[in-house]
Amino acid sequence: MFQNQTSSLKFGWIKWGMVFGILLGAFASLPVSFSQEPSSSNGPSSSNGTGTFELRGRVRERGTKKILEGVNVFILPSKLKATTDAEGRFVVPSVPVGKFTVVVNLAGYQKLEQEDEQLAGESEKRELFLEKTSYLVYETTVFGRKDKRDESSKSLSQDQFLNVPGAQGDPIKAVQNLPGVNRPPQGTAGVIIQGSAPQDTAYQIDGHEVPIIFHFGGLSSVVLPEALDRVDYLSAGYGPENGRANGGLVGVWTSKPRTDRFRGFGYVDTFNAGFKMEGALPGPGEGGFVIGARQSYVGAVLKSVLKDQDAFSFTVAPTFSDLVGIFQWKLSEKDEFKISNVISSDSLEFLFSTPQDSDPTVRGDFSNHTDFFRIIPQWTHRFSSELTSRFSLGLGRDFIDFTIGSNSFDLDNTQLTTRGEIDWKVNPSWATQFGFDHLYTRSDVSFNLPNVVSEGGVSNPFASGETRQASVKDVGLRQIGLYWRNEVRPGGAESAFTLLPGVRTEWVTATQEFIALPRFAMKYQVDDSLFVRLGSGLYSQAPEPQQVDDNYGNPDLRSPRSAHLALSAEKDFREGSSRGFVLSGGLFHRWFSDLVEQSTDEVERDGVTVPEYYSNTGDGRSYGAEVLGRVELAPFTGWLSYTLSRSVRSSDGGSEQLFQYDQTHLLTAIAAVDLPRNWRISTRVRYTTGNPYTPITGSVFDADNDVYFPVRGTLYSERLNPFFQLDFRIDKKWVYDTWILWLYLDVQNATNRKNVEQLQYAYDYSESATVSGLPVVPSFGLKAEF
Amino acid sequence: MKYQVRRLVGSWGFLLGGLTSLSACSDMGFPEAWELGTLRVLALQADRPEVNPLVDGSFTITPVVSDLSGEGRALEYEIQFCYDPAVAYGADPDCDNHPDALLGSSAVTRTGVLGGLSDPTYTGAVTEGAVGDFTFTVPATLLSFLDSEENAVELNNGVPFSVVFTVTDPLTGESVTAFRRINATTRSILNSNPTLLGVQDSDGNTITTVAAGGDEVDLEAVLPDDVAESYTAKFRDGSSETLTEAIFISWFSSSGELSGGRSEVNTFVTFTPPDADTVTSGDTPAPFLFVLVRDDRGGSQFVSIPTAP
Repeated sequence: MFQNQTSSLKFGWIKWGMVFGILLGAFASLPVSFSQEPSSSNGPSSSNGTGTFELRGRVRERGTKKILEGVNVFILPSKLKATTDAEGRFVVPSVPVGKFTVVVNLAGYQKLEQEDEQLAGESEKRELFLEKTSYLVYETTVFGRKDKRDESSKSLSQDQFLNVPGAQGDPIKAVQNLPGVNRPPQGTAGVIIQGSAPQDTAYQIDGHEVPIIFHFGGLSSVVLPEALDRVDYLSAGYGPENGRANGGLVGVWTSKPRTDRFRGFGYVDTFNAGFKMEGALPGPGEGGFVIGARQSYVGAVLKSVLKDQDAFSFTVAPTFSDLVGIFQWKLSEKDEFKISNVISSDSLEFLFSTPQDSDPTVRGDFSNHTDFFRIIPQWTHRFSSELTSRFSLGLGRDFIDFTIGSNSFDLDNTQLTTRGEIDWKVNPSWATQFGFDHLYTRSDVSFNLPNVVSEGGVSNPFASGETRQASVKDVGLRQIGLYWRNEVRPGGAESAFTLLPGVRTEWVTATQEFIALPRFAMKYQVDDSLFVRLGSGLYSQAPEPQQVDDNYGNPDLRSPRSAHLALSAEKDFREGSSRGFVLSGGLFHRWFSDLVEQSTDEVERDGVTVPEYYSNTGDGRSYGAEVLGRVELAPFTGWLSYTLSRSVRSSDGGSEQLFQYDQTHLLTAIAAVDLPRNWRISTRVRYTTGNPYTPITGSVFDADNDVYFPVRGTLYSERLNPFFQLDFRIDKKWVYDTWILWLYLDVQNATNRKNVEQLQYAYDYSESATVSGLPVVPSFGLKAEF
Repeated sequence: MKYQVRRLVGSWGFLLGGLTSLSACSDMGFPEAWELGTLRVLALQADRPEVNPLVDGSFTITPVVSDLSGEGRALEYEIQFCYDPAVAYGADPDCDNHPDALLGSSAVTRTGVLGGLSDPTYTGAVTEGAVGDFTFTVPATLLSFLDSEENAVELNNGVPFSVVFTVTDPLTGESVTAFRRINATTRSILNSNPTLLGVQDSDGNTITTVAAGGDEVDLEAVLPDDVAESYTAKFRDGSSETLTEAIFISWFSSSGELSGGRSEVNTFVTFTPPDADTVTSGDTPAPFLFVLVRDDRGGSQFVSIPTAP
């Protein structure tokens, strides 16, 4: 009856088909990418036979070959001058033959002073390369500014997340340094926003939802970081364009391909290797492409570390791979089309050599595969400077299977998401956006799993749960969101006040609910350097699928709701310069209601008394203050983020208790200093309050299953020790004319502190011991880019 | 069934984290599950793991207790019988807060002085203080009012009752609690306890005693070929399936070293007896083994392998 079909097999055809398609597109683009030679107007220069010659050349950035336009090229001692055109080319007529000096002096670059000589005869084209002052610039100036519509969001650009110490170049790990982001337990994958639950955060690629944003255990995000333009983090009070997440949203946006030249890189580090290629596409329009891929071998490292374990042995080491392809065309002056392709694959298999003392059902083979792909076409049409439409699709499939011994879960999910928006600047004081956001999934699912009860973060034994088994096909789920956002300046375009009223509606087929969710924000620009913002709104999030299942859930559940209120301000002390301080901060408060909890009650449904399984009896709050200070005093840069927060939950009207992820203090300090010769040293320090946990006061023996039930004390009444970690990173770049060699050392937990991540118990809970997180983890990387 | 995968997979990292920690716990110095010494309940054997109350709902519990370090101290028991408080869904495994009209105004509770533990092992089946204390009856009314179609799953798979057994040392207050379920079903073939024929080594030699100072030996439980019974399970989506019991063997020892506390059918555990000197000096108890076989429906059987005379 139950078929544990391996999804990777199904996925393989699609995966390799897409790989082939992307590579085909990439190779098709290569001839054009490489054919960026000068036109005939820039043919070979020649001396004119009168004692002078025409000096032709091109100025580019050293290492990256970036074309430098508008650069003055001086010829000494004849005091001649030329300026580079859009192609970086320059022509200096009538340069006297003989020795001369080329001088180029451009801000941000080292002065070029090159001795040269031209004898009579035909001269060669000169290739000049300007070396940047630093190739390791750590920019914070674009923080939260790029393409920003929602003031509740914070954005990290590629430059930032690639260089943040401790984040290993990963955008999502870099987000975890921001204020309001709780530290997740080590080995878990997710972003916990302002005291909400990990599952209350939605993850998007180019605005379209994806099942995971991290590979296994939070090792790395699922898209090659260098193929991303930025990562957005939306917290309390986010706008109506997004929804279905009571916590917030983390979205990554793929980069726009650069078409000025063909470029790329390849890298190898301790855990994985990858590459990226980028350039222009053939055909009409200004088309470009980015393709990249990664393959991890972290599993091989883990396998060697755990080879002496008697408890289990790896049969397939944990591994992940991902592939990204981005193609963009400017179809006309008014139309742009972009298509992003993302493929991600994770797999892990191992064998328990004997049934475990703590639970005999944990035995035999364990395997987990998570694969998905998304194809995201995006079309932007500008009717006029006031009216723009955007439309995009997210078509993909998710394959997830999971096996422990005789227990298994297999999901084949086809997902189509659509987003559309009309952006209309009605007049200088009013802009409005209408949009829709539709999610459709069709699923085939089979499972044979026990119901695992967890309370207070402590799970009952696997063996003691009621086994649930089903196999169903072609089950659809729809969520349709409509939104209307407004940006109004009541006193005219120059008004210091901006009002942002909006509303979002959701139709959720799983719960048969139509939900209206008003949002309101207000911004007051005190002066050019200071603004204050108020954000508020109602939010909802559909119950998890299994919770509303007709047989093993409660089909009468409602969507959990939340209300957000956030007050924030930002003061830029730099007064127009590139040096100085920026200080931002705010207060947030969230109220959660109708949270879904496990129920032991029985209810009458369709005239039959059945277990309720789940109920909307949970409530909660999270509130706090957060502050972010950034400093840019080149060559020193850094930031300091601090959050003071409290998150509580209550059950069925009972008293409040701490939430599992409550962390009173969250402190992150990051500093970097750029040194001469393209060295940079950076460091990160993190301190967080330890997570609450539920003490276990005893146990009861389950004689049927030969396991022990934990007897819980007061839920979340104790805390793990505070977490402290120091990371540092050293970068060094060697810059050659046409390529750059980059070496880095990223050391996590440099002090080798034994941070307690969880408690481990004896088989009968009579004794406990702490389990520490990762020890010092050095990661070497080598990257060659051109 | 409706599946949206975003949040479903989000928590799987916790599982991986747990599995990783599993590798760490072997070095934490915890007592092994197979080590006998402190007061513990090893099994609550029922003569009938499943009953059909419409025919005969009675059953008798045989608690299996080990109190090696107690050396025969006086122990008291409390045994309760109640409608299952939905332990599988998260309820606490006790009868205290789960009065049941079917059984009267509250759970059936009986107390007495425990007997049966004797020198030298102080491990094995125990006896009740008053005859009949360990015998209960599932009322026929439990199933008789259920609708044969609407409650087909419950009637076939069974409605569980709970037996909660607590042993206490009245002098020190030390106490251990165990529980089991009795499945009330209308199945025509009820579950029975598995048969355990004995223990043998890897050469097929029957093991009847163990001694200190002996060689390391691989041991397996001798079970009949048909020890795993087949049965039909019904599911809430209307499907049904013929399943076969999973059989687990639990191994316990008073001293020496076992390679593991559990095994499966046709798999071995390795027993390393303690040094004879340490036993002679009294530093280590004399070795004996206790072997329990369980099916995954509440059936159990046990055998004791005593110290060689």
